[in-house]
Amino acid sequence: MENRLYTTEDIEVFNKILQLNMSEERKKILLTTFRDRMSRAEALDAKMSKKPYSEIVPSNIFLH
Amino acid sequence: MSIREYTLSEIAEKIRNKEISCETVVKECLEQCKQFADYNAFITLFEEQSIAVAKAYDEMLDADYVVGPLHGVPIVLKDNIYLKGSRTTGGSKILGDFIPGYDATVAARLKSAGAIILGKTNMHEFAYGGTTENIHYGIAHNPWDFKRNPAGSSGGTGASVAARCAFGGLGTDTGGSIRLPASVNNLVGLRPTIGRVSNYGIIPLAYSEDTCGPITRTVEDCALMLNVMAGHDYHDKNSSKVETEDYTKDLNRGIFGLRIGIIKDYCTQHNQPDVEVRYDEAIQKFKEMGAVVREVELPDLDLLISAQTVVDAVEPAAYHLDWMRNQPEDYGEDVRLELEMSMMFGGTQYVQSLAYRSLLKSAIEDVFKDVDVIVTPTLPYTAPEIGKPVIDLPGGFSQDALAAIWHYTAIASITGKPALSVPAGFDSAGLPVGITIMGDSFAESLLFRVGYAYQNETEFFKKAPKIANIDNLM
Repeated sequence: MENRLYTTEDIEVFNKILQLNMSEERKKILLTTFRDRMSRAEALDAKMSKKPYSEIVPSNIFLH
Repeated sequence: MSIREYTLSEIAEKIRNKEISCETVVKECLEQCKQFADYNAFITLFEEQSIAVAKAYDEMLDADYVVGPLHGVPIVLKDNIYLKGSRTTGGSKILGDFIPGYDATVAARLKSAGAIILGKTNMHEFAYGGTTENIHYGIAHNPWDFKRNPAGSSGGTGASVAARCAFGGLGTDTGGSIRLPASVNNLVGLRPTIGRVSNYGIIPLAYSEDTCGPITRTVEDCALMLNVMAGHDYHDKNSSKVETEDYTKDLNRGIFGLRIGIIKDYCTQHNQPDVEVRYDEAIQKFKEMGAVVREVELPDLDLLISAQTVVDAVEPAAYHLDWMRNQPEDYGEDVRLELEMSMMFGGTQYVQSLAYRSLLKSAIEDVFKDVDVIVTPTLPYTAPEIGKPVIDLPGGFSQDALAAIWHYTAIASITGKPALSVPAGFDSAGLPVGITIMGDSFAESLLFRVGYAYQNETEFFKKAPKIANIDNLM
Protein backbone atom coordinates (compact mmCIF):
# COMPACT_ATOMS: atom_id res chain seq x y z
CA MET A 1 0.00 0.00 0.00
CA GLU A 2 1.03 3.57 -0.65
CA ASN A 3 2.54 5.41 2.33
CA ARG A 4 0.63 8.65 2.59
CA LEU A 5 1.49 11.80 4.48
CA TYR A 6 -1.83 13.10 5.67
CA THR A 7 -2.67 16.80 5.89
CA THR A 8 -5.47 18.85 7.38
CA GLU A 9 -7.26 18.49 4.05
CA ASP A 10 -7.80 14.81 4.84
CA ILE A 11 -9.26 15.77 8.20
CA GLU A 12 -11.55 18.21 6.40
CA VAL A 13 -13.11 15.32 4.46
CA PHE A 14 -14.45 13.78 7.67
CA ASN A 15 -15.19 17.18 9.15
CA LYS A 16 -17.45 17.92 6.21
CA ILE A 17 -19.17 14.55 6.05
CA LEU A 18 -19.93 14.49 9.79
CA GLN A 19 -20.65 18.25 10.06
CA LEU A 20 -18.27 18.67 12.98
CA ASN A 21 -17.63 22.37 12.40
CA MET A 22 -13.94 21.97 13.25
CA SER A 23 -11.90 25.14 12.94
CA GLU A 24 -8.59 25.20 11.02
CA GLU A 25 -6.86 25.42 14.39
CA ARG A 26 -8.56 22.23 15.62
CA LYS A 27 -7.55 20.41 12.45
CA LYS A 28 -3.93 21.42 13.02
CA ILE A 29 -4.09 20.26 16.66
CA LEU A 30 -5.50 16.91 15.53
CA LEU A 31 -3.02 16.29 12.71
CA THR A 32 -0.28 14.48 14.71
CA THR A 33 -2.79 12.16 16.32
CA PHE A 34 -4.52 11.66 12.98
CA ARG A 35 -1.29 10.53 11.31
CA ASP A 36 -0.45 8.16 14.17
CA ARG A 37 -3.90 6.54 14.36
CA MET A 38 -4.28 6.30 10.59
CA SER A 39 -0.99 4.42 10.43
CA ARG A 40 -2.48 1.87 12.84
CA ALA A 41 -5.61 1.55 10.70
CA GLU A 42 -3.46 1.16 7.59
CA ALA A 43 -1.52 -1.69 9.22
CA LEU A 44 -4.83 -3.39 9.91
CA ASP A 45 -6.00 -2.78 6.34
CA ALA A 46 -2.79 -4.16 4.86
CA LYS A 47 -3.50 -7.58 6.35
CA MET A 48 -7.28 -7.74 6.71
CA SER A 49 -8.05 -6.67 3.13
CA LYS A 50 -6.17 -9.70 1.77
CA LYS A 51 -7.47 -13.23 1.48
CA PRO A 52 -7.99 -15.30 3.59
CA TYR A 53 -8.45 -12.50 6.17
CA SER A 54 -10.97 -10.58 4.05
CA GLU A 55 -13.25 -13.62 4.18
CA ILE A 56 -13.47 -13.69 7.98
CA VAL A 57 -16.95 -12.92 9.27
CA PRO A 58 -16.77 -9.92 11.63
CA SER A 59 -17.99 -10.21 15.26
CA ASN A 60 -19.88 -7.15 16.40
CA ILE A 61 -21.70 -8.87 19.25
CA PHE A 62 -20.73 -11.79 21.43
CA LEU A 63 -22.81 -14.96 21.38
CA HIS A 64 -19.82 -16.84 22.99
CA MET B 1 -7.69 -3.47 65.09
CA SER B 2 -9.21 -0.82 62.85
CA ILE B 3 -12.40 -1.64 61.00
CA ARG B 4 -10.57 -0.64 57.84
CA GLU B 5 -8.25 -3.63 58.15
CA TYR B 6 -11.12 -6.04 57.54
CA THR B 7 -11.89 -7.24 54.05
CA LEU B 8 -15.37 -7.01 52.55
CA SER B 9 -16.08 -10.67 53.37
CA GLU B 10 -14.89 -10.21 56.96
CA ILE B 11 -16.83 -7.03 57.65
CA ALA B 12 -20.00 -8.53 56.13
CA GLU B 13 -19.71 -11.45 58.53
CA LYS B 14 -19.01 -9.24 61.54
CA ILE B 15 -22.05 -7.10 60.76
CA ARG B 16 -24.25 -10.19 60.30
CA ASN B 17 -23.02 -11.57 63.62
CA LYS B 18 -23.79 -8.22 65.28
CA GLU B 19 -20.16 -7.84 66.41
CA ILE B 20 -20.17 -4.37 64.90
CA SER B 21 -22.94 -2.02 63.80
CA CYS B 22 -23.53 -0.82 60.25
CA GLU B 23 -23.57 2.74 61.58
CA THR B 24 -20.10 2.41 63.10
CA VAL B 25 -18.70 0.95 59.90
CA VAL B 26 -20.27 3.61 57.68
CA LYS B 27 -19.16 6.47 59.92
CA GLU B 28 -15.56 5.22 60.01
CA CYS B 29 -15.52 4.89 56.23
CA LEU B 30 -16.94 8.40 55.81
CA GLU B 31 -14.29 9.75 58.16
CA GLN B 32 -11.61 8.10 56.02
CA CYS B 33 -13.20 9.62 52.89
CA LYS B 34 -12.78 13.06 54.47
CA GLN B 35 -9.15 12.36 55.40
CA PHE B 36 -8.63 11.32 51.79
CA ALA B 37 -10.38 14.33 50.23
CA ASP B 38 -7.22 15.81 48.63
CA TYR B 39 -6.92 12.72 46.42
CA ASN B 40 -10.12 13.66 44.50
CA ALA B 41 -11.40 10.09 44.47
CA PHE B 42 -15.05 11.12 44.76
CA ILE B 43 -17.43 13.19 42.70
CA THR B 44 -20.36 12.78 45.12
CA LEU B 45 -20.42 11.51 48.70
CA PHE B 46 -23.73 10.42 50.31
CA GLU B 47 -22.96 11.27 53.91
CA GLU B 48 -26.36 11.74 55.60
CA GLN B 49 -28.07 9.21 53.38
CA SER B 50 -25.48 6.49 54.11
CA ILE B 51 -25.78 6.99 57.87
CA ALA B 52 -29.57 6.91 57.66
CA VAL B 53 -29.52 3.66 55.71
CA ALA B 54 -26.96 2.19 58.13
CA LYS B 55 -29.19 2.99 61.10
CA ALA B 56 -32.15 1.38 59.37
CA TYR B 57 -30.07 -1.71 58.59
CA ASP B 58 -29.00 -1.93 62.24
CA GLU B 59 -32.64 -1.91 63.31
CA MET B 60 -33.39 -4.64 60.80
CA LEU B 61 -30.55 -6.74 62.19
CA ASP B 62 -31.95 -6.23 65.69
CA ALA B 63 -35.08 -7.87 64.34
CA ASP B 64 -32.91 -10.64 62.82
CA TYR B 65 -33.69 -9.48 59.30
CA VAL B 66 -30.75 -9.68 56.91
CA VAL B 67 -31.24 -7.91 53.58
CA GLY B 68 -28.59 -9.97 51.78
CA PRO B 69 -24.96 -11.09 51.74
CA LEU B 70 -23.67 -7.50 51.73
CA HIS B 71 -25.94 -6.24 54.53
CA GLY B 72 -24.53 -2.92 55.74
CA VAL B 73 -21.26 -3.10 53.76
CA PRO B 74 -20.11 0.29 52.40
CA ILE B 75 -19.18 0.27 48.73
CA VAL B 76 -18.63 2.89 46.01
CA LEU B 77 -19.81 3.21 42.40
CA LYS B 78 -18.01 4.74 39.46
CA ASP B 79 -19.88 7.85 38.38
CA ASN B 80 -21.01 6.43 35.04
CA ILE B 81 -23.36 4.00 36.82
CA TYR B 82 -26.91 5.28 37.25
CA LEU B 83 -28.21 5.73 40.76
CA LYS B 84 -31.84 6.81 40.91
CA GLY B 85 -32.24 10.38 42.11
CA SER B 86 -28.49 10.98 42.37
CA ARG B 87 -26.27 12.95 40.02
CA THR B 88 -24.46 10.69 37.53
CA THR B 89 -21.93 12.73 35.60
CA GLY B 90 -19.78 10.21 33.77
CA GLY B 91 -16.97 12.47 34.93
CA SER B 92 -18.15 15.08 32.44
CA LYS B 93 -19.34 18.67 32.43
CA ILE B 94 -21.87 17.73 29.74
CA LEU B 95 -23.76 15.41 32.13
CA GLY B 96 -22.90 17.47 35.19
CA ASP B 97 -26.54 17.92 36.19
CA PHE B 98 -27.88 14.58 34.96
CA ILE B 99 -30.05 12.79 37.52
CA PRO B 100 -31.22 9.34 36.36
CA GLY B 101 -34.76 8.19 37.06
CA TYR B 102 -33.75 4.61 37.71
CA ASP B 103 -30.91 2.50 39.09
CA ALA B 104 -28.48 0.70 36.83
CA THR B 105 -29.16 -3.02 37.17
CA VAL B 106 -25.82 -3.54 38.95
CA ALA B 107 -26.61 -0.76 41.43
CA ALA B 108 -30.09 -2.20 42.08
CA ARG B 109 -28.66 -5.67 42.65
CA LEU B 110 -26.01 -4.42 45.09
CA LYS B 111 -28.63 -2.43 46.99
CA SER B 112 -30.88 -5.48 47.10
CA ALA B 113 -27.97 -7.44 48.57
CA GLY B 114 -27.73 -4.89 51.40
CA ALA B 115 -24.73 -2.85 50.25
CA ILE B 116 -24.65 0.78 51.33
CA ILE B 117 -23.47 3.08 48.55
CA LEU B 118 -21.19 5.67 50.12
CA GLY B 119 -20.50 7.70 47.03
CA LYS B 120 -19.89 8.03 43.31
CA THR B 121 -16.25 7.97 42.32
CA ASN B 122 -14.14 10.11 40.06
CA MET B 123 -13.25 8.75 36.64
CA HIS B 124 -11.65 9.68 33.36
CA GLU B 125 -14.19 11.82 31.51
CA PHE B 126 -16.72 9.51 29.85
CA ALA B 127 -14.32 6.63 30.65
CA TYR B 128 -12.30 7.70 27.61
CA GLY B 129 -8.78 7.51 29.01
CA GLY B 130 -6.57 5.74 31.51
CA THR B 131 -5.42 8.37 34.01
CA THR B 132 -8.45 9.88 35.83
CA GLU B 133 -6.81 13.27 35.37
CA ASN B 134 -10.23 14.88 35.31
CA ILE B 135 -10.34 18.64 34.74
CA HIS B 136 -14.00 18.95 35.75
CA TYR B 137 -13.88 17.19 39.15
CA GLY B 138 -10.19 17.34 40.00
CA ILE B 139 -7.18 15.25 39.09
CA ALA B 140 -7.32 11.98 41.02
CA HIS B 141 -4.19 10.93 42.90
CA ASN B 142 -2.74 7.53 43.65
CA PRO B 143 -2.88 6.58 47.35
CA TRP B 144 0.54 4.94 47.04
CA ASP B 145 2.16 8.13 45.74
CA PHE B 146 0.35 11.47 45.53
CA LYS B 147 2.42 12.53 42.49
CA ARG B 148 1.09 9.64 40.44
CA ASN B 149 -2.30 8.87 38.98
CA PRO B 150 -4.48 5.95 40.12
CA ALA B 151 -4.90 4.85 36.46
CA GLY B 152 -8.31 4.78 34.94
CA SER B 153 -10.78 5.15 33.82
CA SER B 154 -12.14 3.74 37.11
CA GLY B 155 -9.39 5.53 39.05
CA GLY B 156 -11.61 6.94 41.80
CA THR B 157 -12.93 3.49 42.65
CA GLY B 158 -9.40 2.07 42.70
CA ALA B 159 -8.00 4.89 44.83
CA SER B 160 -10.86 4.89 47.35
CA VAL B 161 -10.85 1.12 47.86
CA ALA B 162 -7.05 1.09 48.24
CA ALA B 163 -7.28 3.93 50.78
CA ARG B 164 -9.85 1.91 52.77
CA CYS B 165 -12.67 4.42 52.23
CA ALA B 166 -14.89 1.48 51.27
CA PHE B 167 -14.68 -2.32 51.18
CA GLY B 168 -15.22 -2.65 47.45
CA GLY B 169 -16.48 -0.79 44.46
CA LEU B 170 -17.61 -0.97 40.89
CA GLY B 171 -15.67 0.04 37.84
CA THR B 172 -16.31 -0.33 34.15
CA ASP B 173 -13.84 -1.79 31.69
CA THR B 174 -13.69 -1.32 27.94
CA GLY B 175 -9.97 -1.41 27.10
CA GLY B 176 -8.72 -2.07 30.65
CA SER B 177 -10.41 0.43 32.97
CA ILE B 178 -11.01 -2.03 35.83
CA ARG B 179 -7.74 -3.94 35.52
CA LEU B 180 -5.55 -0.82 35.32
CA PRO B 181 -6.69 0.77 38.62
CA ALA B 182 -6.56 -2.67 40.25
CA SER B 183 -2.95 -3.12 39.11
CA VAL B 184 -1.56 0.27 40.18
CA ASN B 185 -3.47 0.35 43.50
CA ASN B 186 -2.62 -3.20 44.75
CA LEU B 187 -6.18 -4.42 44.30
CA VAL B 188 -8.14 -7.21 42.67
CA GLY B 189 -10.25 -6.27 39.64
CA LEU B 190 -12.42 -8.41 37.43
CA ARG B 191 -13.37 -7.68 33.86
CA PRO B 192 -16.20 -10.21 33.46
CA THR B 193 -17.04 -12.09 30.26
CA ILE B 194 -19.01 -9.81 27.92
CA GLY B 195 -22.67 -10.33 28.78
CA ARG B 196 -22.06 -11.83 32.25
CA VAL B 197 -23.00 -8.56 33.98
CA SER B 198 -25.71 -6.20 32.76
CA ASN B 199 -24.72 -2.85 31.26
CA TYR B 200 -28.22 -1.42 31.65
CA GLY B 201 -28.07 2.04 33.16
CA ILE B 202 -24.37 2.57 32.52
CA ILE B 203 -23.12 5.42 30.33
CA PRO B 204 -21.54 3.63 27.34
CA LEU B 205 -18.06 4.00 25.90
CA ALA B 206 -17.72 1.27 23.25
CA TYR B 207 -20.85 -0.87 23.07
CA SER B 208 -19.20 -4.11 21.99
CA GLU B 209 -16.50 -4.07 24.69
CA ASP B 210 -18.10 -2.37 27.71
CA THR B 211 -18.28 -4.40 30.92
CA CYS B 212 -18.93 -3.64 34.59
CA GLY B 213 -17.09 -5.43 37.37
CA PRO B 214 -15.87 -5.29 40.97
CA ILE B 215 -12.66 -3.82 42.37
CA THR B 216 -11.80 -5.16 45.83
CA ARG B 217 -8.88 -5.91 48.13
CA THR B 218 -9.12 -9.70 47.87
CA VAL B 219 -10.16 -12.34 45.38
CA GLU B 220 -12.91 -13.74 47.64
CA ASP B 221 -14.41 -10.24 47.96
CA CYS B 222 -14.43 -9.94 44.20
CA ALA B 223 -16.19 -13.30 43.84
CA LEU B 224 -18.73 -12.32 46.49
CA MET B 225 -19.58 -9.12 44.63
CA LEU B 226 -19.87 -10.93 41.30
CA ASN B 227 -22.31 -13.38 42.95
CA VAL B 228 -24.61 -10.42 43.50
CA MET B 229 -24.05 -8.66 40.17
CA ALA B 230 -24.01 -11.46 37.60
CA GLY B 231 -26.95 -12.79 35.63
CA HIS B 232 -29.28 -12.15 32.75
CA ASP B 233 -31.10 -8.83 32.58
CA TYR B 234 -33.97 -8.43 30.15
CA HIS B 235 -33.21 -4.69 29.94
CA ASP B 236 -29.82 -5.45 28.36
CA LYS B 237 -30.20 -7.33 25.09
CA ASN B 238 -26.54 -8.35 25.11
CA SER B 239 -26.66 -9.84 28.60
CA SER B 240 -26.15 -13.59 28.59
CA LYS B 241 -28.63 -16.29 29.56
CA VAL B 242 -25.82 -18.65 30.54
CA GLU B 243 -26.52 -19.80 34.11
CA THR B 244 -24.60 -18.05 36.88
CA GLU B 245 -22.94 -20.02 39.65
CA ASP B 246 -21.59 -19.49 43.15
CA TYR B 247 -18.31 -17.82 42.22
CA THR B 248 -16.79 -18.66 45.60
CA LYS B 249 -17.36 -22.40 45.25
CA ASP B 250 -13.96 -23.30 43.78
CA LEU B 251 -11.79 -20.91 45.76
CA ASN B 252 -10.17 -23.61 47.87
CA ARG B 253 -9.52 -26.18 45.15
CA GLY B 254 -5.91 -25.13 44.60
CA ILE B 255 -4.13 -25.18 41.26
CA PHE B 256 -2.18 -28.44 41.32
CA GLY B 257 -2.06 -29.79 37.76
CA LEU B 258 -3.79 -26.74 36.27
CA ARG B 259 -2.34 -25.69 32.91
CA ILE B 260 -1.14 -22.09 32.74
CA GLY B 261 -0.20 -20.55 29.39
CA ILE B 262 2.32 -17.78 28.85
CA ILE B 263 2.20 -16.11 25.45
CA LYS B 264 5.35 -16.85 23.47
CA ASP B 265 7.49 -13.81 22.55
CA TYR B 266 4.96 -11.35 23.94
CA CYS B 267 5.21 -10.94 27.71
CA THR B 268 8.93 -10.45 28.27
CA GLN B 269 10.16 -7.67 26.02
CA HIS B 270 7.88 -4.80 26.74
CA ASN B 271 7.89 -4.18 30.47
CA GLN B 272 9.61 -1.92 32.94
CA PRO B 273 12.37 -4.04 34.55
CA ASP B 274 10.68 -4.42 37.95
CA VAL B 275 7.42 -5.47 36.29
CA GLU B 276 9.38 -8.07 34.34
CA VAL B 277 10.93 -9.43 37.56
CA ARG B 278 7.57 -9.60 39.38
CA TYR B 279 6.00 -11.39 36.40
CA ASP B 280 8.81 -13.96 36.28
CA GLU B 281 8.45 -14.50 40.04
CA ALA B 282 4.71 -15.01 39.65
CA ILE B 283 5.23 -17.65 36.97
CA GLN B 284 7.79 -19.37 39.21
CA LYS B 285 5.33 -19.27 42.09
CA PHE B 286 2.65 -20.94 39.96
CA LYS B 287 5.11 -23.73 39.13
CA GLU B 288 5.96 -24.19 42.82
CA MET B 289 2.26 -24.45 43.55
CA GLY B 290 1.97 -27.39 41.18
CA ALA B 291 0.64 -25.74 38.04
CA VAL B 292 1.92 -26.86 34.65
CA VAL B 293 3.27 -23.77 32.86
CA ARG B 294 3.71 -23.90 29.11
CA GLU B 295 4.26 -21.46 26.27
CA VAL B 296 1.36 -20.88 23.92
CA GLU B 297 1.27 -19.29 20.47
CA LEU B 298 -1.21 -16.47 19.93
CA PRO B 299 -0.74 -15.29 16.35
CA ASP B 300 -1.58 -11.91 14.82
CA LEU B 301 -1.05 -9.91 18.02
CA ASP B 302 0.84 -7.38 15.90
CA LEU B 303 -2.55 -5.90 14.97
CA LEU B 304 -4.08 -5.93 18.45
CA ILE B 305 -3.47 -2.23 19.14
CA SER B 306 -4.64 -1.25 15.66
CA ALA B 307 -7.94 -3.09 15.99
CA GLN B 308 -8.50 -1.84 19.53
CA THR B 309 -7.75 1.71 18.37
CA VAL B 310 -10.49 1.55 15.74
CA VAL B 311 -13.18 -0.22 17.82
CA ASP B 312 -12.53 2.04 20.80
CA ALA B 313 -12.94 5.05 18.52
CA VAL B 314 -15.81 4.31 16.15
CA GLU B 315 -18.21 3.10 18.84
CA PRO B 316 -17.68 6.12 21.16
CA ALA B 317 -17.97 8.39 18.10
CA ALA B 318 -21.51 7.21 17.45
CA TYR B 319 -22.56 7.99 21.03
CA HIS B 320 -20.85 11.40 21.22
CA LEU B 321 -21.54 12.78 17.74
CA ASP B 322 -24.32 15.19 18.67
CA TRP B 323 -22.38 16.71 21.57
CA MET B 324 -19.26 16.92 19.41
CA ARG B 325 -21.21 18.89 16.82
CA ASN B 326 -22.81 21.27 19.26
CA GLN B 327 -20.69 21.66 22.39
CA PRO B 328 -17.17 20.26 21.81
CA GLU B 329 -15.67 22.91 24.08
CA ASP B 330 -17.43 21.28 27.05
CA TYR B 331 -15.08 18.28 26.90
CA GLY B 332 -11.63 18.28 28.48
CA GLU B 333 -8.96 18.81 25.83
CA ASP B 334 -7.61 15.23 25.92
CA VAL B 335 -11.05 13.67 25.51
CA ARG B 336 -12.08 16.20 22.88
CA LEU B 337 -8.98 15.32 20.85
CA GLU B 338 -9.67 11.59 21.17
CA LEU B 339 -13.28 12.10 20.11
CA GLU B 340 -12.33 14.25 17.15
CA MET B 341 -9.99 11.47 16.09
CA SER B 342 -12.65 8.85 16.72
CA MET B 343 -14.83 10.50 14.06
CA MET B 344 -12.14 10.01 11.41
CA PHE B 345 -12.28 6.27 10.82
CA GLY B 346 -14.19 4.72 7.95
CA GLY B 347 -16.73 1.94 8.03
CA THR B 348 -14.38 -0.45 6.23
CA GLN B 349 -11.71 0.00 8.90
CA TYR B 350 -14.29 -0.73 11.60
CA VAL B 351 -15.42 -3.93 9.89
CA GLN B 352 -11.79 -4.97 9.47
CA SER B 353 -11.34 -4.52 13.23
CA LEU B 354 -14.38 -6.69 13.90
CA ALA B 355 -13.00 -9.32 11.53
CA TYR B 356 -9.73 -9.15 13.46
CA ARG B 357 -11.79 -9.78 16.60
CA SER B 358 -13.13 -12.98 15.02
CA LEU B 359 -9.59 -13.98 14.09
CA LEU B 360 -8.10 -13.41 17.56
CA LYS B 361 -11.14 -14.86 19.34
CA SER B 362 -10.85 -18.06 17.35
CA ALA B 363 -7.10 -18.23 18.03
CA ILE B 364 -7.45 -17.72 21.77
CA GLU B 365 -10.24 -20.30 21.97
CA ASP B 366 -7.85 -22.78 20.35
CA VAL B 367 -5.28 -21.87 23.00
CA PHE B 368 -7.84 -22.55 25.75
CA LYS B 369 -8.12 -26.13 24.48
CA ASP B 370 -4.50 -26.61 25.55
CA VAL B 371 -4.33 -24.51 28.72
CA ASP B 372 -6.85 -23.55 31.40
CA VAL B 373 -5.76 -19.93 31.79
CA ILE B 374 -3.27 -17.46 30.35
CA VAL B 375 -1.20 -15.28 32.69
CA THR B 376 0.30 -11.93 31.61
CA PRO B 377 1.40 -8.77 33.38
CA THR B 378 -1.63 -6.47 33.71
CA LEU B 379 0.37 -3.43 32.65
CA PRO B 380 3.95 -3.06 31.40
CA TYR B 381 4.52 -0.32 33.99
CA THR B 382 3.63 0.89 37.48
CA ALA B 383 1.61 4.04 38.25
CA PRO B 384 2.75 6.89 35.97
CA GLU B 385 3.38 10.43 37.15
CA ILE B 386 0.49 12.83 36.75
CA GLY B 387 0.68 14.83 33.55
CA LYS B 388 2.99 12.43 31.74
CA PRO B 389 1.46 11.32 28.43
CA VAL B 390 4.13 8.79 27.45
CA ILE B 391 5.41 5.69 29.21
CA ASP B 392 9.16 5.06 29.50
CA LEU B 393 10.13 1.50 28.71
CA PRO B 394 13.54 -0.24 28.68
CA GLY B 395 16.18 0.84 26.19
CA GLY B 396 15.19 4.49 26.17
CA PHE B 397 12.00 3.52 24.37
CA SER B 398 8.87 5.58 25.00
CA GLN B 399 5.37 4.64 24.03
CA ASP B 400 2.15 6.63 24.02
CA ALA B 401 0.09 5.71 27.05
CA LEU B 402 -2.81 4.19 25.16
CA ALA B 403 -0.70 1.70 23.22
CA ALA B 404 1.26 0.78 26.35
CA ILE B 405 -1.95 0.24 28.31
CA TRP B 406 -3.48 -2.02 25.69
CA HIS B 407 -0.48 -4.28 25.14
CA TYR B 408 -2.00 -6.87 27.51
CA THR B 409 -5.47 -5.62 28.42
CA ALA B 410 -6.79 -5.38 24.86
CA ILE B 411 -6.53 -9.16 24.39
CA ALA B 412 -9.51 -9.76 26.70
CA SER B 413 -11.25 -6.58 25.56
CA ILE B 414 -11.23 -7.49 21.87
CA THR B 415 -12.12 -11.15 22.42
CA GLY B 416 -14.75 -10.61 25.14
CA LYS B 417 -13.03 -12.99 27.55
CA PRO B 418 -12.89 -12.57 31.34
CA ALA B 419 -9.71 -11.31 33.01
CA LEU B 420 -8.76 -10.95 36.67
CA SER B 421 -5.97 -8.65 37.82
CA VAL B 422 -4.39 -9.57 41.16
CA PRO B 423 -1.56 -7.97 43.18
CA ALA B 424 1.89 -9.35 42.29
CA GLY B 425 4.27 -7.34 44.45
CA PHE B 426 5.96 -3.96 44.22
CA ASP B 427 8.62 -2.16 42.22
CA SER B 428 11.77 -0.66 43.77
CA ALA B 429 9.85 2.56 44.56
CA GLY B 430 7.19 0.59 46.43
CA LEU B 431 4.55 0.94 43.72
CA PRO B 432 2.18 -1.99 43.13
CA VAL B 433 2.50 -4.40 40.21
CA GLY B 434 -0.35 -6.59 38.96
CA ILE B 435 -0.66 -9.77 36.92
CA THR B 436 -3.71 -10.82 34.91
CA ILE B 437 -5.29 -14.25 34.77
CA MET B 438 -7.35 -14.66 31.61
CA GLY B 439 -9.75 -17.50 30.79
CA ASP B 440 -12.32 -18.62 28.26
CA SER B 441 -15.86 -17.22 28.27
CA PHE B 442 -17.70 -17.62 31.60
CA ALA B 443 -14.62 -19.06 33.33
CA GLU B 444 -14.84 -16.54 36.18
CA SER B 445 -14.85 -19.26 38.86
CA LEU B 446 -11.64 -20.68 37.45
CA LEU B 447 -9.99 -17.24 37.44
CA PHE B 448 -11.00 -16.74 41.06
CA ARG B 449 -9.64 -20.19 41.93
CA VAL B 450 -6.24 -19.40 40.41
CA GLY B 451 -6.18 -15.87 41.82
CA TYR B 452 -7.14 -17.03 45.30
CA ALA B 453 -4.42 -19.68 45.43
CA TYR B 454 -1.82 -17.16 44.27
CA GLN B 455 -3.06 -14.47 46.64
CA ASN B 456 -2.81 -16.77 49.65
CA GLU B 457 0.71 -17.86 48.73
CA THR B 458 1.98 -14.30 48.25
CA GLU B 459 -0.17 -12.14 50.57
CA PHE B 460 0.69 -8.95 48.65
CA PHE B 461 -2.91 -7.83 49.20
CA LYS B 462 -2.21 -7.29 52.88
CA LYS B 463 0.02 -4.29 52.24
CA ALA B 464 -1.82 -0.95 52.36
CA PRO B 465 -0.75 2.56 51.39
CA LYS B 466 0.16 4.88 54.29
CA ILE B 467 -2.92 7.02 53.68
CA ALA B 468 -5.07 4.04 54.71
CA ASN B 469 -3.94 4.74 58.31
CA ILE B 470 -3.77 1.11 59.32
CA ASP B 471 -0.99 -1.16 60.54
CA ASN B 472 0.42 -2.95 57.56
CA LEU B 473 -0.11 -6.65 57.95
CA MET B 474 2.77 -7.62 55.66
